[in-house]
Amino acid sequence: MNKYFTLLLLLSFLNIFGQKASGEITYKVTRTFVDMGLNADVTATNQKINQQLFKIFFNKSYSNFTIVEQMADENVDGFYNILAKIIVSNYDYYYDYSNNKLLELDRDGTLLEQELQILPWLITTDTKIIDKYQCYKATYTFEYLARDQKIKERTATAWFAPSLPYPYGPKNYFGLPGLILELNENDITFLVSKIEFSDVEIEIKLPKQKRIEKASFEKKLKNR
Amino acid sequence: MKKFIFSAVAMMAFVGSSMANTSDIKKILTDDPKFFECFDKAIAYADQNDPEGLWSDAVANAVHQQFMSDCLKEVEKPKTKQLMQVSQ
Repeated sequence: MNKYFTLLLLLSFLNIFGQKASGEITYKVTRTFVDMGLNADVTATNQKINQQLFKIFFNKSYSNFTIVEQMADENVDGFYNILAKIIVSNYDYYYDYSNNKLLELDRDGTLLEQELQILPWLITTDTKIIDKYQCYKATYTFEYLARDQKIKERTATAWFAPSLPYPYGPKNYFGLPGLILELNENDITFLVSKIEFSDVEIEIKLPKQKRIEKASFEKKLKNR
Repeated sequence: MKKFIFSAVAMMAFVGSSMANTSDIKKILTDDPKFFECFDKAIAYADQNDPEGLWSDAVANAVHQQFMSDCLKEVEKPKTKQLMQVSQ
């Protein structure tokens, strides 16, 4: 089935159930990392990772996944905050549903654009309760270039709640028939801590920087 | 340009036979011991923070760049220029 038709069908399906105009979803981050205490930089960075909060803001046209900036000392703490951000999520994500676009805004202001695509999630019958919501497990497996220059496979695991008919999730994990309440990626876990809906539309402004097509940008990086 | 150089160095360092390549890089780029003190710390940070090699290349490069950038704040500007010129 054409991917755009699938996306349209999904969004239409969700609209039938009278979604709220807007919402704000908060996630806490934890890292399941066995820190042997051998490197003070690693320990400090992990402390910052486990303090991170992220939010998804959404309305009927857009959604935005972004870190909640927290006050920190600009010297040593600032440095570890930055490393923590890179490790967990180096981008702010903006979804433009009207134009079928996904924008990724890097910390340095680079704005990458790509077509919004439904990810090939594998939905299972595994269930668990998260924050009183019945959740189902879904996985998404993809390839990536690892730091040892080898192509590796990674599987992200999401727990989504069909009773919350919103296709949103942390980072670029999108398109399940329910809000993702928990996402596991590598040793990082995003877990929902707060869900707020509103009948009043929240304003979301897309970044104004020049957009760079993501595939060509990654090709240039690879060939440099 | 500085970001590009650091990324290129990071990329080469993460390839398997990194020790020999790192030595070559040291001879070519700079004699500043502070640079390599930071470089070695950045490599050690990556190895200890990501022992299973789960980081993507993009994350690894970004971490390395940020680590080097912060660590090298004390490097004198004239030596940094020399680094860039030698590498071009």
